[in-house]
Amino acid sequence: MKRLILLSLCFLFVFSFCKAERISFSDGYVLQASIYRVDGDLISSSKMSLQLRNNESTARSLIEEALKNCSFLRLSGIECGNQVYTVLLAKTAAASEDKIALFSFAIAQTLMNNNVCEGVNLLIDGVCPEIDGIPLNTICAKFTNSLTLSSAVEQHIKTRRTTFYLPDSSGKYIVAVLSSESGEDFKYSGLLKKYGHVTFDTSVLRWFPAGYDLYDLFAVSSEYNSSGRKVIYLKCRDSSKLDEAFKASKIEKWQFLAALCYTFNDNCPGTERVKVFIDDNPVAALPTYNGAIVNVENSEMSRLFFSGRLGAIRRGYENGSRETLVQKSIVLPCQSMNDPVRIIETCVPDVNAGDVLDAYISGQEAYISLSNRFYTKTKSLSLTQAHKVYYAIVNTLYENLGIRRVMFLHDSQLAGVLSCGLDLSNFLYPDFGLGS
Amino acid sequence: MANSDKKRTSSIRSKLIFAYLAVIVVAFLLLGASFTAMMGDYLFNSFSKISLDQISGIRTRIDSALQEGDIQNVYSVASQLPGRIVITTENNVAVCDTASLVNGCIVDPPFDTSKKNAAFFRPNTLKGFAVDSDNYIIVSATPLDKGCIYSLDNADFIITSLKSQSIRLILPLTGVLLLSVFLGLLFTRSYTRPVKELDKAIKSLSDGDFTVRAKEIGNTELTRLASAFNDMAGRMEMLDRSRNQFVSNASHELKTPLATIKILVQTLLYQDVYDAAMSKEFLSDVDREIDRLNAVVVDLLTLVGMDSGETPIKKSEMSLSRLLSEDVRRLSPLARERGIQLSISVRDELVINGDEIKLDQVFYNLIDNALKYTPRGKNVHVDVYRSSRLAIVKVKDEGIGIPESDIPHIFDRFYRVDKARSRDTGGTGLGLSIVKQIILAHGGNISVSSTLDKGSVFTVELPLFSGRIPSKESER
Repeated sequence: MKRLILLSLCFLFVFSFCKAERISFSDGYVLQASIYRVDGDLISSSKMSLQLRNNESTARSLIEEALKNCSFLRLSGIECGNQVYTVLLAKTAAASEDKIALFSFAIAQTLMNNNVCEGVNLLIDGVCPEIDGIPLNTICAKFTNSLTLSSAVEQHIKTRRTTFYLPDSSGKYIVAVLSSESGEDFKYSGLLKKYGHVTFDTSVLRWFPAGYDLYDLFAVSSEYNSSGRKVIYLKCRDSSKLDEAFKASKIEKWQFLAALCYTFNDNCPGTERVKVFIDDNPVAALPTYNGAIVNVENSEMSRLFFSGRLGAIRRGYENGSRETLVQKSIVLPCQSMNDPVRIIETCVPDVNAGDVLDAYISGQEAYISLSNRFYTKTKSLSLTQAHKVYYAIVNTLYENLGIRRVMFLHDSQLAGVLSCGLDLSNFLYPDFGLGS
Repeated sequence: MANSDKKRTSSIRSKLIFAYLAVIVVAFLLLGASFTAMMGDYLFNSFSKISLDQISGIRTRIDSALQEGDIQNVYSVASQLPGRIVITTENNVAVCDTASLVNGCIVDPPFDTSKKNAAFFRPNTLKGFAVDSDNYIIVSATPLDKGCIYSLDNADFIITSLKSQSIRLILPLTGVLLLSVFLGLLFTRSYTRPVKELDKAIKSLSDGDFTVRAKEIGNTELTRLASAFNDMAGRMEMLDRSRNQFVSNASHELKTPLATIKILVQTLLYQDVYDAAMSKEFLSDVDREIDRLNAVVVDLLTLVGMDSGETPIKKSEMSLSRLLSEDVRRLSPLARERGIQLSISVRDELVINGDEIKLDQVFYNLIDNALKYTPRGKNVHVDVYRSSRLAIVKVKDEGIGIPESDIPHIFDRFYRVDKARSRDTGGTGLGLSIVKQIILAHGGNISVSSTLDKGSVFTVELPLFSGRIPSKESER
């Protein structure tokens, strides 16, 4: 009997290695990109084939290519938004304003011409750069050919927009929203004015209702603190009205402060800090997203205080009536906004944490590895139910990551044909009739 | 009885009407079905052509979008068409379904697209497209470079149109049926009325009314049937009359001598004085009446026996020429006595298969009759010859002749042209009946032609004996 059991185990062990060939795919893919580089006083473009690894950030690869010949700037981070990316650069050596501007435009053109975003913010050592007093945010001018700095600046002046940060409805994040108006208003007060006129997704974002303009509620000015850092002062003129505004909008206080901090930091050149006064008292105790109170040194808030609270809007689904799906907007943390697994788990109903083991993005293809539990569960679904689940995943990846086709894997093999007839052994393409 | 008559006639009429209606309904249904099928085909072909044109129109764009992997473009192009569009790859996997039902599923072609490009499906018969409705569907297909475009369109409108068309046909059909019933009732009356009339006449006839005649309406088989009935009724009437007359005549013929005998015997019985001479005379008369009575009874018995077949004809080969010669010889003294020239001419030696005794009776009777009704100084001639396969015997006289109105009845029983005269000549009125009966029993025929005051010719035809056809002999 013992020998029999042992023999069976050996047989199973050997058999597991002799199973059908596992799916293996390449480690990367080739991206045909337009890279803009600084060439003397010009920003010139060239077509290149970039070899990227699976799941590698496209934006990061593009920026690094654009900075290949830059000796004074180093990429330290990227904040990915829906329409606008904020590129965080660190200065490693001294450089003129012109040079910084040239590389800023090169990075912006590289990202925009490869359809990564509509606008680019740059922060160099956490500060918005400028050239000749003109803030280099938010760059939206798009060029296809080589250009000089002057023509780039000229176009930038006409086309620059503002990135505003707004609180989300969950009370957990703030989200970058690109203003629709472009113009030459460089004044800080202009930011307060424009805050009420931003068009945003009201299903996931909030702001003060009409009648509670920031321009009326706050006065803005700037000063340099003792460390020589430029600080934006926002002084509330009417705290009771501000309270009313909070009640009416149900915005969390920390979100409001974070939004102001990010907005002024990113759009006002040289700004490193924001100080808010309510009833002539600076806000020193900063409430955080989890209700904890953090004391702010000198009441001067910086972006670092709200690190990790930046979110991005993703398109997902929720269950509607009669087994239908309804599209909805969902806010994800910025760092996860391009993470396919996180996107699927958050944006697709009936997919729980752990259902998707891994995801491999190869260009415009995605390979999604399903857990055994999830796969077994979906095997017995009806066609309508299975279609809903799997195509919600496919559509979500398409809408958020531009994935054109998805292959589902189970245990590193192609998932088979479900009992309802849905054939998972082939690529699935988005279903544009799904959801409403 | 009247009710069953009505039922019988009604059932024929109703059967006729039913037959008309059945023919009309079947014709209508066949026409209706054909028309409906034609209309259905027309609607299907028209609609599927439109659908095919539409999907053929987007084929190029779909092909290029598929090659680029731009499914959104595929979907937006397909969504412009009114019907449900399913696009499959060369492996029959649906990559686009505007109804979002079978994306990612293997969809086997619903028909052989190399042979046809459109098909009509009844509810719940289309497999593979997740169509679970109770609708009729038209599927049109156009091949792509690698795959196929299917257009699924609701075809309920075709069925609705056909149904409404069918319903629209019901009204005229009802009208036609009602009109047919009315006309049928009208026309069948002309068919059933003669039957009714005939039925009534048959009933009357079976009740004993032989004078009844059926109306002969129109010129159809029923008219001919009525005519035949009338002939039959006429003959039955005549037979009945003849029978009555025969019974009356027979009674009279039998009663007359019996009455005479009665009178004579009573006279003899009740005479006061016996008179021998008178007794002898009277007894002679009685004897004569008894003879007459006996002759009538014998003749009657002969006829009755021949009618019932109790007196069979004993046929054997015999010479007709010899028989007639013998009869002429036996009657010659009588002819001489009456001053009549009796002669015979035998042109051919005739041999027949017959009953010699009966035939002797026939020809003796005919020649005797000729002598009876020919006045003194005239001639009676017997002509015997062969004509083809018949033996012909003609007895010609130059006698008083027979009136034309009496000729058809001359062979009837107890029929006398001149009753008084016949009685004087001792006839029973049965002689020619017996003659005719015997001739007919031999398979022959007898006829008469006569002219008043000029004479008569009795012609007898008998079949010759088939074994021999003798040669001609000279005239006697």
